[in-house]
Amino acid sequence: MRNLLPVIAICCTFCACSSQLGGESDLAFASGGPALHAIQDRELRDLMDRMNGLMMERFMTEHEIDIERSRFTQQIIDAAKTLSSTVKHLVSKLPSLELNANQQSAFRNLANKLGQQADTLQKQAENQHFNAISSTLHEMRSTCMACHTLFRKI
Amino acid sequence: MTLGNPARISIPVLLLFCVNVRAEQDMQALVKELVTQVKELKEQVAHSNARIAELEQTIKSDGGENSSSASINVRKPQTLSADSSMLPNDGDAKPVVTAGDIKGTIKVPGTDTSIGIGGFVKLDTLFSSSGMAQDTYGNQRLEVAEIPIGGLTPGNDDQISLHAKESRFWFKSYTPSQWGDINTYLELDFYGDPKLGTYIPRLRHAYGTFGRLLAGQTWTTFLNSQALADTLDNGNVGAILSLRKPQIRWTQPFTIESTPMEWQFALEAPLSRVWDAANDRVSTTRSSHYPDLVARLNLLPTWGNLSLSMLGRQAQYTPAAVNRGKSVWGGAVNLSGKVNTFDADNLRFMLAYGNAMGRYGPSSFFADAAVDDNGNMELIPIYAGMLAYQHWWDKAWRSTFAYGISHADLPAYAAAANRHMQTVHANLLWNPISQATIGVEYIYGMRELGDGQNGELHRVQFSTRFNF
Repeated sequence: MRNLLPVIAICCTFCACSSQLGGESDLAFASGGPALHAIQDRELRDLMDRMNGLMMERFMTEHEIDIERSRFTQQIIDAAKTLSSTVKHLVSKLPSLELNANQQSAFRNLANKLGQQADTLQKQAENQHFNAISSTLHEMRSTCMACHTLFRKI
Repeated sequence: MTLGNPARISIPVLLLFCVNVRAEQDMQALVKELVTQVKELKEQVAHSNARIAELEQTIKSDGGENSSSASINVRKPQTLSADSSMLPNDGDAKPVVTAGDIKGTIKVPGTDTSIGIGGFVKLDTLFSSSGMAQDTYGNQRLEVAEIPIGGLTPGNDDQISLHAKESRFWFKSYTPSQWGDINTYLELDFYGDPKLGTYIPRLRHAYGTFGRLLAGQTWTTFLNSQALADTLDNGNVGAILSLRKPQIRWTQPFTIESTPMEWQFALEAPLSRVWDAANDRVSTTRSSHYPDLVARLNLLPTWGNLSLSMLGRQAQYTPAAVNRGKSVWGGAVNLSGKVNTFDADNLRFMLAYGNAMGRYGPSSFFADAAVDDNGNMELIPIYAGMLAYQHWWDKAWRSTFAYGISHADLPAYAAAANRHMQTVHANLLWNPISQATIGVEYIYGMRELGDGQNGELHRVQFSTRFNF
């Protein structure tokens, strides 16, 4: 125990430093379990991977592949719609997050951006612009990472 | 002061913690700076837009020569159409080709029909532990029925063969109509002749759909084509019930608890394969009084698909021993599907049992029925199973491991007929881009006759496939 005392002292010092070094760390809050919007984002990327995998199928006819593709497309549309409404729900939680005005603005902007990207994804799926869906998913991922960096505890 | 073991472990952990805290603060500072820059850019854009509006207002208010020169620079399509001397005559205008209503198609100008063509060019290089007979398909794909039994004939051990017969061409069309969508589909490969160097086009699929009705040649309704394993080998996994047949099929979708489902009913072309003890071989009869009857229930949840197929058919044959037509009714069931596991991985399986299933098995392996020396005909019960797992290492690399097994309960007099088979496929495939596949596959096949004699094959296949 005596050997641990210096270690404990060092731990306490670093903890104090990290809390003094900036209010930025106060931005982070625990989001609890996996957030709905993160699950839906994951679901969208899995759907896209499976749809791209259809191109590798050799025994299904192109007609059968088209039928499967339309099923995946409908699932993408449904997931994008759900994500869009989940994002609106996220914005409604803003008052309970105890953020200052700048932080609220940043949070709202990022959430709105994610919602717009979800709407874009839905339109791309409805119009069968499959090539554009991958880049939209990539942009959504960047938006998620930016928001998590600012507002989510690691 | 000396530091004990807990301290030796704790200090590096502390340092790592401090590094992580610092990295997070750096990231937050960077994001804050970016937010500031974006704000400044937005202000600049707003200022620029205001300036543009100001200039446009100035141009408009000038009027006269300035406004006519501005209209030349920003003339609209309506201006062009007003000057008929600059436009071609309406009668000469050619309709523009536009993208079709389904992926990979274009619209036929002046119609509602979308058409598409495609296919792939595939080269297969096969290194086999034993050669099959000359000019047989067994040297071009896995044909378990051709695996030599007993010892290898001299000079026929190990063989290399290269061919491009699996290269494929397809054509599809789509036309919406008030009665239901009309689709057509044609697909060819070049397996029309068993000689290795001879490429004859062979029709694989030729069918049309009109709403829920399908008519033409395609995969038998008894088969769930999504359960077929992703192998390089065109013979695919032993035990796979793979057969394309002329048929008429009706598909009726419905939902239960918001899960999409389908009933499918089909009448399919009959054909009987019968083992005749009189000559110890399988004979094929195409004449029959009844088509094959197939019913299938499909479950289509978001996690994959499952199907349960039921088959009823009549095997018919005229034994030489009695010179009188014999027929017997039999059936089979097939439970198969594809289940998504994690990420893009999936599990594919097929379990089938029946006493009239021989013809639906791997090509030319089992018979539907057997006839003894007295002309008595009996159906042959067959069990078949297949399991395949596809794993995606990342978006460009994937592997499939597949195992198949089939077994027939043969009567004692059919000792020379095929009784049992097993196959294994394991591959590694690479798609540097989605249209190109390069891969290598290990294939193992074994077969056993009714009298216990057996043979096996080891093969390594290297293939390239380029889609268009």
